Amino acid sequence: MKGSKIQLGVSLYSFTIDYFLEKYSIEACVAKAAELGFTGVEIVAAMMVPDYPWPTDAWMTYFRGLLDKYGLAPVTYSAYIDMGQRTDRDMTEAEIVQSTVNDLDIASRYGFPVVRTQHAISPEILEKMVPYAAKRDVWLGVELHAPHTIHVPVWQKYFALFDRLGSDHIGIIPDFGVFQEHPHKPWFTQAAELGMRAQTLEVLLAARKEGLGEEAAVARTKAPTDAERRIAHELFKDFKPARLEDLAPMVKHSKYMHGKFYYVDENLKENCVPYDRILPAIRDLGFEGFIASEYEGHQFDESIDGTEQLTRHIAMEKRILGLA
Amino acid sequence: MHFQAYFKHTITDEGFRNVAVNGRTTGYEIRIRFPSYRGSQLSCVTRLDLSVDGAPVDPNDLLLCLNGKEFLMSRIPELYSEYWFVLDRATLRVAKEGGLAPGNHELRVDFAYRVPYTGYSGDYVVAEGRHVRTLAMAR
Repeated sequence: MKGSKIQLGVSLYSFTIDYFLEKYSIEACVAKAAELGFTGVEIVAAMMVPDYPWPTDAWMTYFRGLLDKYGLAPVTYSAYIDMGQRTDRDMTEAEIVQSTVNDLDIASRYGFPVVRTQHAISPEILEKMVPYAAKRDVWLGVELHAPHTIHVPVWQKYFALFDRLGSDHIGIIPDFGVFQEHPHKPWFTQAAELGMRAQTLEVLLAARKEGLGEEAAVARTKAPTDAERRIAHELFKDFKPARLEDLAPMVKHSKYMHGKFYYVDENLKENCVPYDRILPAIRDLGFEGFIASEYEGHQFDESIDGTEQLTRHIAMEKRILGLA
Repeated sequence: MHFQAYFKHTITDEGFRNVAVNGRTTGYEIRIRFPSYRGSQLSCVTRLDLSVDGAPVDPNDLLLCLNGKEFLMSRIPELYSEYWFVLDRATLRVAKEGGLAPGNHELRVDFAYRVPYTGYSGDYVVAEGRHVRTLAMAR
């Protein structure tokens, strides 16, 4: 059956604004995830786990109980490499290893098959983590997140490592945000809030369409303010055409993906991240595992209903993949 | 523009009150959120300034109360083992004889924090924002 090896999960991060403002309890987030038709769950530990990074057994048992109650699979315990947590220096290798072992232990103890880590772990330390992950039967995935692409030097080293060792216990978690081609609706809303005038934006977008760079585009605007200059910089830095040929090496070494999105419209289209091309490519490359819907529009416009966005996102995924 | 959405929720409408010791009003406090989707080590807070009715509060008169402890602003950079869980409110307590008069006061918090996992190309993102909110001090 087409797409039958792809499973549709959700990162509870998608509920950020309702969780942050305490409209949704943790149980409400889990209940919604099940109601919307997702079958697996990712929890961002630094966001939702009290006493992080050392959660209590009582809380983790409670959370696992919630997943069981609503019939959801625990999939990913999402961890961070908070390299810059100290003011005086970055984390040392020993500290990175210790914090990653801690996260692997928690995932293993409470039945999460995947730990999400971040690029700052470094290829060298990731290699040292393989025996720890293997012993705990956990897959440690490094998130590939914008502004990185697979072509930056650190990711070239990660791929060399995956090719050398195989991917049974380490690999890549691609975040579809790396394929974002255009600014999204919530981005425009926030740009206006932060002082971007409509006429300035129009000039910048027209220049961008013509293929001009940042400097030439800004030169065309009338008396740009500091805020407009800052936002213009983001416009030209953050959004690049997707390179879908990058998906093949990603799928080869991935067991889990982040379906990042910012806005799905009422016609079930994401106009900034090309899901219509990404999902069939992933399926045809033979990807097996969860794609976690990850709604991030809340970072830009909190008035958008995140639950409605997830409803649309899973419907869009099912439409594209031909799933019932 | 990442991380900007949360600053407008920094000052909460709970717990704005004068505080008394042994029957004498010695100051006042407000309760604030950590303005991000996730919690953070306290050491990542790089700026936390409070102004009341347009007048900046001296950092030496200001305590950040969290996790059952109280910290002077000057200690924040070293507090990498104190985690500010995102659903927990911190109390900002200001030493001021007599506290604040009843009625409305304009509170302004200027907040900045290092996002500790963002060193994609060497530097960490520092998210900066301001929240201004008028709250009423009860009689």
